[in-house]
Amino acid sequence: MSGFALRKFVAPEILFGGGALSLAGQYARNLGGGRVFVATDPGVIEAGWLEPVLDSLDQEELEYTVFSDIRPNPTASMVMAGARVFADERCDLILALGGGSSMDCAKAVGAVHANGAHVREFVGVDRIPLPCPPVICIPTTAGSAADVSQFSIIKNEETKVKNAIVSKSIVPDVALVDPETTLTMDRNLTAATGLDALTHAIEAYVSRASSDLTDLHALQAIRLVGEFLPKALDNLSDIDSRTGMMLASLHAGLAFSNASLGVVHALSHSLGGLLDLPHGECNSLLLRWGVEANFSAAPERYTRILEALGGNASSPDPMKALLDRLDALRSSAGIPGRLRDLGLGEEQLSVLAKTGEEDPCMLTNPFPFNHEELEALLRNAY
Amino acid sequence: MPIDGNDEQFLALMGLGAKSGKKSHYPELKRRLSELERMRDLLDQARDAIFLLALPEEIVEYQNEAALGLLGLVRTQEKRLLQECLKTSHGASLTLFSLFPFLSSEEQRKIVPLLTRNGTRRFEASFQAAVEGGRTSGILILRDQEERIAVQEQLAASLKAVEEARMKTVRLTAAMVEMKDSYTGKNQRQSARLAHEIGLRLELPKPEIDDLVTAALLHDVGMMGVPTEILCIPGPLRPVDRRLMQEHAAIGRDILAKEGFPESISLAVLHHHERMDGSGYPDGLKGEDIPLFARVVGMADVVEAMLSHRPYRPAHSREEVLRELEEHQETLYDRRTAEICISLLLEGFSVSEETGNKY
Repeated sequence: MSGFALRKFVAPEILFGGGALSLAGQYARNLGGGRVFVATDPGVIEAGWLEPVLDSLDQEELEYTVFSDIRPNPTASMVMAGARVFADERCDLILALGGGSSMDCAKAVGAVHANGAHVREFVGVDRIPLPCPPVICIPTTAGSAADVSQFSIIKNEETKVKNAIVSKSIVPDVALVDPETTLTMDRNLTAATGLDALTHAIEAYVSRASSDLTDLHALQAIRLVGEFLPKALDNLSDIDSRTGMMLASLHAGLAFSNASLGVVHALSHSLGGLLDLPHGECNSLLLRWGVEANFSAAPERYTRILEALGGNASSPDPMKALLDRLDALRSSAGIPGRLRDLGLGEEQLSVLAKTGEEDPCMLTNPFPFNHEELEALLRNAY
Repeated sequence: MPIDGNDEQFLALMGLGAKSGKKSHYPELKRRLSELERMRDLLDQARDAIFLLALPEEIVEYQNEAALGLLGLVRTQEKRLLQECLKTSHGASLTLFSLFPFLSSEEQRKIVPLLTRNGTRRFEASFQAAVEGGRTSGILILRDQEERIAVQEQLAASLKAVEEARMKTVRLTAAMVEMKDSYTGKNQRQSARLAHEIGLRLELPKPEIDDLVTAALLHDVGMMGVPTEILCIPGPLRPVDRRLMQEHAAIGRDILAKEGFPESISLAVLHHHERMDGSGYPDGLKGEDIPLFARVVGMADVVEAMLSHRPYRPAHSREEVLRELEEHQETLYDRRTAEICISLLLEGFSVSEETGNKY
């Protein structure tokens, strides 16, 4: 237990529950908004979630500009385009409505606008010098938790690397977490984002920067995923399972935003950048391989994870029991289990390992991988 | 515990009130920020160049658009030094210290030529320092005064030209008097020289000295109206001739007044034969009633005349003149003027030398 080590816990104001979404206008007003930059994506608009948000802004007589030119794995040029719109339209507050892509892009837009610099300047930890405009996040997936985290992952189109921007400056001001918004996710997205939340929780729990505060959230997130992900996948319209998964994502977010992550995310950023694959799917695939490679560095912690997932803590081979559970979850979610299934060439593994090594998430991983060990992990997953 | 939706206080306690946001102070912050920005916009519209400086390093903490515009600089995040923003007319960097070496909370001003995008222009620099919270800062305001100064200089130049033209006229007139009567002419030039010295010792301002000299140069201009025969009579005059002769004071005043000379000059000409005890002419004025210029011109006239040769008598010696002045300095002459004349004579002032005489 790391109870006596010095730790910090940062979180936005969080409103969780049905109807949180309709508070968008009130919070935008209270944060001094005049013209709101609404960052979202076409899928969210199609699902019908933009309309009630704009109604709420109208109710407060706020003006707004909708920027929906955001795609999965948001790129630096999307961010710069957004920042131009933000400035041209003289916006003063950011409202992100969507999954991790919309929220990450929106947070980076704020940093670019306030600092007048290219987004690449912020890559790394605590690299944003000037305070950003206020940010309100309304997540529409139960997984990314970008609405509470200090992370924004932006892809560099030239290098095809997903760069992590980590800064307290981009912890949103307010998270309006409304489980109803996740009812419109299809089965595949529900599975990928749910396993993303599980990956957040597991990596935060075994992180070298974990604390009692983050452990509490991480374990609760793992329990909730274990209980509600299979139910949600069975019945996509079950609001109780959706609420359970949204809560799981929120807990996992609070845990990983403060404890950071590990090897799975490092490699997942690398993989997602190279092949332009959805982040949730990359995590889902790589999770069990990361757990396997890390297990020996934190066996007790992994055993507690097994327990939280409803497994038997006194199992003679807890690693195998945990990996079996993770494999079962993944395959029932219908997500491929091998890197080769993604169309990745074997010769690309070394590049993946190299990029992963440089990701800041490696700093907090329990096992200190060298390049060969990382490549071996990837080869196992291939 | 069930939530009573109507219980506002309960909702507020849970953080669900209308103003429960941790950052509900943002609108107020924003208002203050926009106020600051409005101030900055106003400063940017000012035509004066305004610098806020951290002292003594002379780091520019703020400069308005006009201040940037002096050398066509662009606003940057990095702080500049003042010397990067100011250039002398030769293009050298200029520090605040070189303009105002002493820090003071009192406003200091000075005119300073600066190189700008539009060439060298003169600015009125106003500087004021203030110590607050242990930090010394200063405000430097530069107002472009090139046009105003240029206009002033033009005015001064034309004034000087007018003044020179007047002096030419005066000298021409004096020369004409000299044509008519060489003794009177020489006397005017010499007494003007003496009046100038007296004026300096009386510490009169320059414009007054100029008028005093003009009065001395023209004090006998009225002789033009006196018949030449009378002027040429050697020795004492008959009473009737004397009265005619004495008319020259009033005639001189009339000529000058008619030509628009200042009253101080025409009155000095009118009264230059008055004496302190009232024994003079034309009005028998006494003491302080006699204008100062008249007293000085009269003194200079008398001293010059005594020191000069006349057809009907030789020149008086310096000693004789000194004795005369000492004897009558209370009765006939203004005491201060007489004292000055005495010391001038003792220091070697002489009327005979014509060299270097500019009158």
